[in-house]
Amino acid sequence: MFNKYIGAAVFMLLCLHAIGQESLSDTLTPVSLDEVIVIAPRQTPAQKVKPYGSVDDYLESSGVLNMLRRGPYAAEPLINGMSSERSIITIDGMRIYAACTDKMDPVTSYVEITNLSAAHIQSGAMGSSGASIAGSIDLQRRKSHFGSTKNNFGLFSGYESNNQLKLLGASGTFRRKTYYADFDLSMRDAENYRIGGGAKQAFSQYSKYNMGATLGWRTSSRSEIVFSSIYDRAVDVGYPALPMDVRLAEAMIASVQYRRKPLKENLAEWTTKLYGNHVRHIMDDSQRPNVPIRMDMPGRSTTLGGFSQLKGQKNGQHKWRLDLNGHFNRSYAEMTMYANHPGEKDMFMLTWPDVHTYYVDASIDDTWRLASGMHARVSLGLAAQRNQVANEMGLQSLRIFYPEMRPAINRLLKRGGLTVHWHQKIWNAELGLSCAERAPSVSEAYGFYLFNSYDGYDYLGNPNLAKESAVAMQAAWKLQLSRLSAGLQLNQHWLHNYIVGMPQAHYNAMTIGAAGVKQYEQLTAAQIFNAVLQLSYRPHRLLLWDAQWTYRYGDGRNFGPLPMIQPLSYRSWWHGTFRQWGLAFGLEGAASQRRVSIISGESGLPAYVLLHANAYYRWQGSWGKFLIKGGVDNLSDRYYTTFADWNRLPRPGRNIYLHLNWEW
Amino acid sequence: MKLASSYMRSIIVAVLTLFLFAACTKDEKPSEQNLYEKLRLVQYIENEHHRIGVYSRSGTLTVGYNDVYFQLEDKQGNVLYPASMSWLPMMYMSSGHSHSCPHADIAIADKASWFQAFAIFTMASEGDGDYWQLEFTYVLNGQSYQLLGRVSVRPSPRRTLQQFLGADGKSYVIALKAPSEPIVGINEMEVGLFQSHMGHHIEEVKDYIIKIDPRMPTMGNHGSPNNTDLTYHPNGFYKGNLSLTMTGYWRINMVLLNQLGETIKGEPITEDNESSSLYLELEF
Repeated sequence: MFNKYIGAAVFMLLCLHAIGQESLSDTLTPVSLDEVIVIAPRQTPAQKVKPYGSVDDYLESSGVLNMLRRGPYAAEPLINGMSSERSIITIDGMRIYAACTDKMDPVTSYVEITNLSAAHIQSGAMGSSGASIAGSIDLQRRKSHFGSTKNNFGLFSGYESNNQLKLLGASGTFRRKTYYADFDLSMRDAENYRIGGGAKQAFSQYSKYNMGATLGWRTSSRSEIVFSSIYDRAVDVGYPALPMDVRLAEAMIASVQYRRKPLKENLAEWTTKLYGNHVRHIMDDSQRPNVPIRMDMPGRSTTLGGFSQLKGQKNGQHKWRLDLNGHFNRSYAEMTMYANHPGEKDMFMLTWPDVHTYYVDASIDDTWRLASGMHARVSLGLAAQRNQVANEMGLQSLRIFYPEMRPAINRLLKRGGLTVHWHQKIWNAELGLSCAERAPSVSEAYGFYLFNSYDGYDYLGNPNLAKESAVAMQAAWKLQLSRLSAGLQLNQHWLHNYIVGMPQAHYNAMTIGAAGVKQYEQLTAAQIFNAVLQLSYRPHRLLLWDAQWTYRYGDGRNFGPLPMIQPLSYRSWWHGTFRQWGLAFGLEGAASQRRVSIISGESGLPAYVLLHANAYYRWQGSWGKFLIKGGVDNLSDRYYTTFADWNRLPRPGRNIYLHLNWEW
Repeated sequence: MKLASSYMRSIIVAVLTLFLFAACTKDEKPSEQNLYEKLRLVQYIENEHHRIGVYSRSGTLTVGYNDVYFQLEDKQGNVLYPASMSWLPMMYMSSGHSHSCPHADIAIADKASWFQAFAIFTMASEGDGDYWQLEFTYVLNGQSYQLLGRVSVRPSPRRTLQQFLGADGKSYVIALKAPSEPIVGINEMEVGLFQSHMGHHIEEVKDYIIKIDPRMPTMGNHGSPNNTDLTYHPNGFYKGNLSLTMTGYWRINMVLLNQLGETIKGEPITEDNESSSLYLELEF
């Protein structure tokens, strides 16, 4: 299994590598151009720029994803140029709702690379995880398997000069015929980073601890039960682009899964999982020297759910999957402001009024062979969603704005898609059309005076929002020659009832210094276009060049450019390998950005180019396998900021790093 | 499996909570009886025959609007049922002046053992010099009695009442009646507006309009939406909607307009004007 991962080292640039050409032409394999980012700190691909970088670093390598940064920690993944409300992030199919009203804790911030083996990124509405517009990410847990007795251990460590980042991780695997147990532990601790030019960026420190355990138990020759849990805790996390930091972000994630395979001749696999998770998030501003008023903003979110999935096939012509999943979530967040005048009572409001979400979803997915070298995949899903404001005070608060508001809303969310796939000896193509609906997020529907420090507005949820819907067209083409490979991925989303905050002159801002109040409204139409081009060329056995260009375009009717849209950006690396040595030079940059969303607080951006370099050495001895990797990011110590940096927060300047790994 | 059972348990708890909630909702309206049980004694006032227990919800009397409850007893504490009762709250000042304050006539409640009225005390008691005296007259068994005694009126920590001279040269008193227990949300606001002539003859002012603009001076003086003008209601008070978006200290700025739409007192809030000269305060 691990060999597969080593082989997938090049995944960073081309996703198609892992798909065996031969197997495609005759039997029916559900092939898709969806992207898989391999995250395997053990047995790691040495060519990965930073093998022990964060989950965010790994995800950023995808052409489909952008990581929106409010600080050096917990970047928000944007799929296909769309904000996180429009996508679903799951951990092995498990739903988690973030607990921060200000998007400071995306689901991806509650896992570590040691917990994961891969991130499966799907664009459009073809996923089984639920109603999403932009796509989905499923973070797959690292698991071993049953087999002859074997124990493995790994230890890694690293240091980065720019922010004195210290990282340390350990993992252990105990494999037996009837059970296995995986444990992992990791920590990262960083001080303030230095921006290009050398100045320190205040409030950019963080500390994170993470533990994971998985226990597999083979109940019979055909069935297994797997218990899996993650505990993640980040403390003293600075968000330099925001007016507040985080004292604590904590998640407890647990699941138990039963899998049986095969059931019968045509029923390949049946998986059922029950899960629960609890997230606690405490924002505070006690470290900030100058604030107009002190405040605390704690939030919490609890999710319980489960799913059952059946996979089967028919005559080698059809490969199908049935999914039934459901979950219950409650999201609660409050804000207490401490008056500067002694003796005055604290000001208290509910920013998320204990919103209960009930969600059930059924979907079917079938891949069938149309002809040799051609197959189609159809996917249909239907979800019922119920939102309920459970806190009376929260309901009364919202009724100030919406006197007729009912405490509960039910919605039916439909989705479906069709993809046709061609595969020939040297090329591979996909054409797909999908459509989906989504319900407004907790903040969009029920948020109460949520301050957005980018455009300077307080945001008000709107419980009367209609469903947002999208039609997405996706085309992808990949070419694989012996020395050259190329990939082109294009997609276009047409959105209807696009949810966006619009200024409301007749409301007073609550936050001191805020520009006004924005309320979520809907644009009748918006569109987003994404293009990713990847090239890889091997002029010599020891040399590899790869490059990726990304471009996005977003526009809303009577709105103009959509916010957080990537300008033309590129990344290019030369890799040289010789025996146990490796050397790489990288170039990364973006064109200037003039097309910005002024209404969202954006301003134009200059172009930039960065230079990177790294080298590694690895060897195998009687004590195990070793890897030592060092490098420099932003070699010229350039000062820069990107479209994905909140409030145009400058990114780190020159950074020298050293990562070490030992496995035995 | 453990998760499954905790899920089941949470469903059961949720269902039970729902039932409990439904059960509570039914009982939410407190009966009259409950109201009287919750009253707290302010003090007894006695003459040589009887005593009157003065009650309020808090057990105190404060500057501003007060709902006041009375019960007549004999000296042994047995409740008596007078045929009628009237009262007059009076302020006697060391300067020799005396005046009354806006108040309601005593209404006889159903069972006729409890009597109810309101008084809008315009100032606090100040030692032995400036004091409030409640003066009762009642008829019991065909005989008329008088009873009077001092009560202590405490200052209010927040402005619940304002006396002012209007642009029309007349003296006014405005006092906050409701919300007495504000919520975050839309509150029904109720204020009393009275004109006083030489501090004695006090009468309701009818059919004016009170514009309100609640603000939080400690939070950048932000306001709240969907407030409505207070208009006169037959119960003698002005009513309208008051939106409070959070707990804390609120200043309810007001502009008072007469029947012709002329401003009697108060200024609108603007960038340069943080507060009206006419306002009441709330803190919760």
